[in-house]
Amino acid sequence: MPLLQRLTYVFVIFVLFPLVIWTGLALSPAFISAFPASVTLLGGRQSARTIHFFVSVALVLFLLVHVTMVCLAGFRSRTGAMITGRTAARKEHT
Amino acid sequence: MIDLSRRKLILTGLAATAGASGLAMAARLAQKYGLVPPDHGGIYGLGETLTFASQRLLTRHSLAREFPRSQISPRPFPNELAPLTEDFKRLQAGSFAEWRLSVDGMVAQPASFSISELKSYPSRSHITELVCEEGWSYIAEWIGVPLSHVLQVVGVHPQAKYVVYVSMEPDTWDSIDMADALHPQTFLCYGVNGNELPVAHGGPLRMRLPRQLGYKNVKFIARLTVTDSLKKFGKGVGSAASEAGYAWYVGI
Repeated sequence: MPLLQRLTYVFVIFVLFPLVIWTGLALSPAFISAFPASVTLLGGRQSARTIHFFVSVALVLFLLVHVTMVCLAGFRSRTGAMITGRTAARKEHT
Repeated sequence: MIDLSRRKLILTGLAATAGASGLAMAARLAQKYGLVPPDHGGIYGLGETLTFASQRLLTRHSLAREFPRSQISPRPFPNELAPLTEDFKRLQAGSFAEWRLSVDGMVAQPASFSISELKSYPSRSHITELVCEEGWSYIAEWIGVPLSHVLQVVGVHPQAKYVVYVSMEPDTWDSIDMADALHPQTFLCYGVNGNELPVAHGGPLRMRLPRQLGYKNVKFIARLTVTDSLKKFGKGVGSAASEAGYAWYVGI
């Protein structure tokens, strides 16, 4: 797996997903009544909302590129590998 | 071989029984502690229930964020109003002197109050955000009498579980559980930013609960009914909004 690809996955899993969950919770008036810092750290409700939208757009873009790459690498074998944990064609790995 | 499969069978059976009875127990406990919202049926029902139950456990007594006076929004946005009814216009022409809020249901003394009677009760205010599902929000100082005070005046039965509130606007009503009804920031609101509550914002009387989205803050409140079950109200899902497909609990 190339470095760029690895970095992208690390970024999506450890930055984008936590951020989209955090900014989502910060939009809940009940949640922020118990944890006010969750929204003040983001600079208030409307900034949380803006970040939430930008991150969700980034996640959708990632999904499109991700699925496109799966299709290019062989949709059937990649999806099979995802479910069974076995790689049918080892050549696809580099 | 036979031994193994019999053991497997027994273990699987035990696990399934434990799982099913665990779920049944969880459902009964949730029912008992008021963690099941009235709109728990349908495709979204499970999600609504999990949201409501977890937020009730997490935020039963938490207070909505309050802001300094300097952060009050310069132009509070009044959302679009349905055309006012003739009855409303007649009351408005008389400066709402004839406006009555009636309170009935599971109370010791059903009563009705004029706006000036409500204003004679201890007045409270908080500077909080009103948050719409559409995304916009604004901060204002809301002035009113805590709903808990009015409920205390009429004497709520201990079995009461919900307060249903009905608007002068046709087909507009909603309900909250006692946790929200008795919450110190839940107001029958008659003023905003130091002035009378304008009609555009729900004057003369609006429900104000800052821990839920804007549409729960119903305008033109004319009637409260205290009850232990929402089944008899409309289609039994708790509010006109939930009948239209919106969530009943919107702490979100």
